[in-house]
Amino acid sequence: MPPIIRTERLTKTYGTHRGIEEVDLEVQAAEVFGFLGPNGAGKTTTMRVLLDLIRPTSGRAEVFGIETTADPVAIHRRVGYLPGEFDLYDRLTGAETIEYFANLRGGVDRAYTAELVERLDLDPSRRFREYSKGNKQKVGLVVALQHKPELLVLDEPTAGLDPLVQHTFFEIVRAARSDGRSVFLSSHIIEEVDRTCDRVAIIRDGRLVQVDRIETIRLLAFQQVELVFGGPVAADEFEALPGVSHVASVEGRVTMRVSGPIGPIVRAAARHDLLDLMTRAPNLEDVFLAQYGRGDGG
Amino acid sequence: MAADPRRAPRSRAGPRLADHLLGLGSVYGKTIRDSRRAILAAGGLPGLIVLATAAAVGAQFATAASRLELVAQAQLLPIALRGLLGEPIAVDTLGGFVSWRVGNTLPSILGIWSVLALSGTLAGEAQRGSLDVLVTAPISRRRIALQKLLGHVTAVSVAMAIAALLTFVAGAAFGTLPGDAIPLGAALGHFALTGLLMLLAGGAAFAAAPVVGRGRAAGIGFVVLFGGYIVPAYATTSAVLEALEPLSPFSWTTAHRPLAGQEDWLPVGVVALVAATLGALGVVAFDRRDLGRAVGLRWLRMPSLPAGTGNPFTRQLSDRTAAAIGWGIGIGVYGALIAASAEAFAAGIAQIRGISELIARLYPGVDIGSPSGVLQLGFFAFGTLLTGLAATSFVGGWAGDEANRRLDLVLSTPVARSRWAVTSGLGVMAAIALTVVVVGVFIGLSVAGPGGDVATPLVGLGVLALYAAAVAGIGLGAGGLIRAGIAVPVAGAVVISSYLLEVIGNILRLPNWVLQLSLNHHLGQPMAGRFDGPGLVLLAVLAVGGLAISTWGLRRRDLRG
Repeated sequence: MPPIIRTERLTKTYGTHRGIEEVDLEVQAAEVFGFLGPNGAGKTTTMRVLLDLIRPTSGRAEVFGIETTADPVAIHRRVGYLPGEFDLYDRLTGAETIEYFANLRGGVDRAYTAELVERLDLDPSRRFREYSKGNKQKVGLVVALQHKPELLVLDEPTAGLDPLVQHTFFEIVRAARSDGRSVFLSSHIIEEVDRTCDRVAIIRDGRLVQVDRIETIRLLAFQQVELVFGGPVAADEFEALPGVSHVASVEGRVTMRVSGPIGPIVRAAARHDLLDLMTRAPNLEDVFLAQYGRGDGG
Repeated sequence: MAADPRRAPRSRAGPRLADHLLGLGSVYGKTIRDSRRAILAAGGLPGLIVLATAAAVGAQFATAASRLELVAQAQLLPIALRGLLGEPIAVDTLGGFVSWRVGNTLPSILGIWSVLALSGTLAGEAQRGSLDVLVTAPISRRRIALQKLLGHVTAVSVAMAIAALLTFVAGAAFGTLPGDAIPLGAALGHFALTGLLMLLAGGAAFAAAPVVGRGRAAGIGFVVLFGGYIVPAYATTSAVLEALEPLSPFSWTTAHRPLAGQEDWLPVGVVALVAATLGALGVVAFDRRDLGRAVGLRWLRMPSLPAGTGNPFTRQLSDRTAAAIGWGIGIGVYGALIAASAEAFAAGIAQIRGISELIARLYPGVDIGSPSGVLQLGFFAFGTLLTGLAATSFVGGWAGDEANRRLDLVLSTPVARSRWAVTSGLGVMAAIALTVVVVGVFIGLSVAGPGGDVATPLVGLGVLALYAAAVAGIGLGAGGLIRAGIAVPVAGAVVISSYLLEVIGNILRLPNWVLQLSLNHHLGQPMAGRFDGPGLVLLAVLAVGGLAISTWGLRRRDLRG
C-alpha cells in the first residue's frame, strides 16, 4: 500500500534562513506518526509544505500519492489540519466558527461534531475572542476532526489543553488509527507521544536525525544501570566492558549507561558483594534529549 | 536579620545606554522606536507637499501683480468655500498661500496617525494579550500609559519639527518676492498647531479606548478629527453645524496662521490643554479599569449581518458590515448636511459677481448654480477621501485573515486559493457597496426632502463606489501579489496622495501628466452629472485587475509563515 505522506529530499528555505533540508519521510496508512523537535527545528515548515500553504524550495512532497503543489484541493478534501498558531474570527461564537468550516468542507456529520464538542468539554456558545487559549485550541481541534479526515496533520495539538482533555484527545487519536486513518502530529508531550505513536521522527536544525518505530528506538538506546555493593568498588572495573559508558562509583553505589546486553556487567558485578541491581528502560524522552545532547551525559 | 518579604530586592543594574538608544530601555523609548517610520512619513509628507506647493507658487505667481490678483480672487470666495480651503490670510506671500491652501487640510489627514496609534497603543495590545506581559513588569500601569502617551507626543513633535524645517527650506528656496521667506519660528508655530490638533483627536481616542475598546475609540477619534474639520467649514450653511461650531478645535484656532504672519496662541494653548486633559483621562482610565475589558455599550454597536458562515464571501462581508455601516453613516451625515444646504448655498454664491470665473478655475466644469454642483464642490472631494479610507480599512480586515493565520485553516479545507481570493475580494467590494448605499440613503433623503433631483447625486455616488473599488483593487492586488501586510499601506498611500495632488494640483497648474497620477483626477464631477468616461473605465480596470492580480499572486506565493 502506498504511503499516505511521502517526502523526498524536501527542502524549504526562507531567503537566507533555513527551514528544512532534504527531509525524507513516509507515513503509512493507519499509522500515528510523531514529529519531535525543539522550537524552530522545522516541524511547522514541514507540515505547511504538506498542506501547500508554502511551496518547497527543492525536493517533493506527496500526500495520498498527489504532489502537494499539483492538486492541493484534492488533498485538503481528505485532510484535517490544526496549525500550531492560529487565530479565528473574533466575532463568531465557537459554534459559528465550527459551522463555517463545516460549510467550507461540506458533508460533515453534525452528530459527530456535537460528540466532539461534548468530549472536548467545549462551550460553543461563547465568542471566539472570549475563549481562553485552551478553549481556542479545542475549537481548532473540532474543526480539524469533525469531517473524519483520512489524514490528520496536527501541529502541537495539546498546547494549552488541560491534562483531562489531553487524555481525551489522545483517545480520539487512537480511535482514528483504529478506523484506519493516519495521524501526523508534533507534540512536546513526549510521554503521550511515546504511548500513542507507532513511529517517531526527530528533527534537528531542519534535518531529520532519526526516524524509527518507538520500540526500535528504545532498543537502540541505552539503559541506565545501578549496582549496589556491600563495599566500595572501583569504577574502572566496568569502564572497559563493551557498551558501557558514563560510569560513576560513590561509596559502593555504581551507576552506568549500557547499550546492548547487560550480561558482561552482571558477571563483573558477581565478583563482588552485590546487594542489588536496578535497570531503567529508556523512554522517548531519554532518546530525544540524547539526540540534543541534553540527556544525563548525553 | 531576615529580609522583609514585602520588600523585593532592587536590582541596581538598569538598562544600558545602548538599550536606551535603540529604544529598548523603557516603554517610552519602545513607543518612539515603533513610531520611527510613521515619524518620517508624518514629517516628510507635509514637508514635501509644502516644498512642491512653494515651488509651484514661486513659478506660477512670480510677480506682485499676479499675487494681488490671487488675493482679490481669494477674498471673493463665499464663507463656506473659505472654510473648506482655509481662511485666506496674506495669500500674496508664500507662507500665507501655503497656510491657506494646505495648512487647514493637513491636520485632518495627519491626525489619522494619532487616532490609530493612541486608540491602539493600549487597547490593541490588551486585545492581543501582549499588554498582560508588560503590566506584570515592575512598572505601574499609570506609568506605562503615561510613557506610551508621551512616546507618541514625542513622535508627533519630531515629525512636526521635520515638517517645519522643510517648510522653512521651502520659503528660502522658492521665495521670489519680498515677504516670501518663512521664518523657522513661524513654521514651528504653524506645525505646533497641526501637531496639537492631531493629538487632540488622538487624545479623545486614547481616553475612550480603555472604556469602549479599540474600534469604538478609533471611531470617536475620527468623529472628533473629521467632524472638527468639516463643521466650521459649513457652519454658515446649516443651523445644526452652526450650533456645533464652538465645539470644533479647528474653529477655535482659525486666527492662528503663523505662516501668514498672524499668531493667536491663546486658543492654541486651549487645544493643548484639552489634548492634555484627554490624555490624562486615558491614563487614569487605564489605571483603574480591568485590562482589556470594554464596557458593553450595545447601543453603540452597528447592526451587522448574520454570522456569515456560508462561504468566504459572506464571511468577509459579515466581518466588514458593522464598519461599512459606520463609515456610511459618518460620510452620509456629512453629505446630507451639505445637500440640505445646497440650494441656499448656490443662491448665495450666485449673488457674488466674478465668483463664477474663480470657481471655474478652481473647479473646472462644475455648475455652481445647481444644488448638485454644490454637493460636488462641498462634499465630493472630502467624501472621496473618506470613502477611500473606508475601502482601505476593509482591505485591512481582508489582510488580517492571512496576518493572523486564519487563512492557514481556511486553505487547509477544499477551498482553492483562487476561490478564496476572488470571493473574499468580492466581500470587500460588497462592503464598499454597502457603505455607499448607506451614504446614498442619507443624501437621497436630504435631497428628496425639499423636492430636489435625487437621481443625479445618487448616480454620482456610483462613481464614488467605483473609486473605492479601485482603491480596494490596488490594495488587494498588492496584498495578494507580494504580502498581505503591504495592502493597507499601498491603498492608503493611493488615497491620500491622490487627494492631496488633486487639492493643490489644479490651482498650481501642475503639468497634466502629474495631475493624471491622481485617481481623483479621473472621477469627473459625478455629483453634478458630469462623468469622465475613460476615467470610469480606468477605475473599473483597477478594481477588476487588482482582484485578478490578487488571485494570481496568492496562487503562486507562500502564505505568511
